[in-house]
Amino acid sequence: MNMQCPEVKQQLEEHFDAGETLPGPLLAHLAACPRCMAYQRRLEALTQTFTQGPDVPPQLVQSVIRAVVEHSPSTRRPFALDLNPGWPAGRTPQSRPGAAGNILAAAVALVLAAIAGGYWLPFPNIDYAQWARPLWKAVTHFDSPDYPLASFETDLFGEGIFEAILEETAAAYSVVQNAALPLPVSPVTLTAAITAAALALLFFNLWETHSMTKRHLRG
Amino acid sequence: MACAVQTGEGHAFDVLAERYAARIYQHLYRIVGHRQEAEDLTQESFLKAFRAIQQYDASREFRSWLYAIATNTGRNALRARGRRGPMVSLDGEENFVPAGTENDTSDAQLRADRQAQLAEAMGRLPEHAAALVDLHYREGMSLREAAAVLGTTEGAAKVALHRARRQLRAWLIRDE
Ligand SMILES: [Zn+2]
Repeated sequence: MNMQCPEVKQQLEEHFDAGETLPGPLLAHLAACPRCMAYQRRLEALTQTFTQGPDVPPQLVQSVIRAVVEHSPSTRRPFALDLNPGWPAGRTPQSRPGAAGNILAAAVALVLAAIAGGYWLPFPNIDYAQWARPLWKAVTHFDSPDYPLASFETDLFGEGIFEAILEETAAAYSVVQNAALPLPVSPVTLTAAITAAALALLFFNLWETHSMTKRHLRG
Repeated sequence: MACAVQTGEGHAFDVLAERYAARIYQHLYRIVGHRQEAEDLTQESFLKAFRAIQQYDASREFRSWLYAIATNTGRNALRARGRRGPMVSLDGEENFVPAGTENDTSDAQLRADRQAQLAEAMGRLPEHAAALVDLHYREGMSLREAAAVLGTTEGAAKVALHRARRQLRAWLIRDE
């Protein structure tokens, strides 16, 4: 054995620090000296531990993305309700509920409102008035010399109310309408229609934001 | 990729997170020596990076920029806490036993033990030295790049790395 153990130890350290392979004389010493061999293996283990790094929590990437999405200032969309969790500035999702989505939602809301308010009904062959008469019945009272306290009722879908008024007017000297024509939609129905429209818009936004967030976090 | 984040491309940030989150976590764990804290600081670092992405100079290495943010985040956390990671005496049983010499210990367990020992030893080093060892060995940065991340010179980094290695060897390897 040409080299002494302390010298070998020092050279081993220098070679490890420099990341160099061990030269012949050192290898020869290690082959013959179990104590230096053990030291060399510990050095290797330490260097390997430096290099490997500790285990990483399994959900780390998702938690990082979620933290960024949750804590960033939101970028408001031009037409949508501001119900989304907030897309950070500069991190616009590739697809987002924009004007088109909201126009669609508004159209659905409008149809619902029209149906609820009785302005428009799908399937015109069905006699809606028949089964919905109490809701849409309009009662109008007239007062004239020839027809005291004449009154009639009509509905919005059978004889038109305006047609009825004209007939009565022709038969009377003077016609005083003493009861205001009721609104084609009662306040209750109108409220229901507006609520339905608002809810449709709200749910559309929530649903789309939810599915987008899921897509976004998954992608 | 960082440019794609700057211009607001949808999944660019997710790709950056996938590429770097684990590495930044490992770096922070080496600095603070605590898993949950390292995870929280990883999120904080990415949030800072994301908010500052417009200030990122695309002519620089993105990795260096991100690691500089993470290192500062780790250092600030240590300062707020008032001291380094949990101090555990290394004079007892700890030693870097080479794999395969203890039959009753699995390799995975052995690796985990070594990482824990190293974390404790790193906690005794000055924080910039711990960061330096990690950047150079685990992240594979040149001394020059690591020095730039830490805001020091290449010469100073070389001296600090030499000292840190010697110190870690003294703590972690007993010559029997
Ligand atoms: Zn020897």
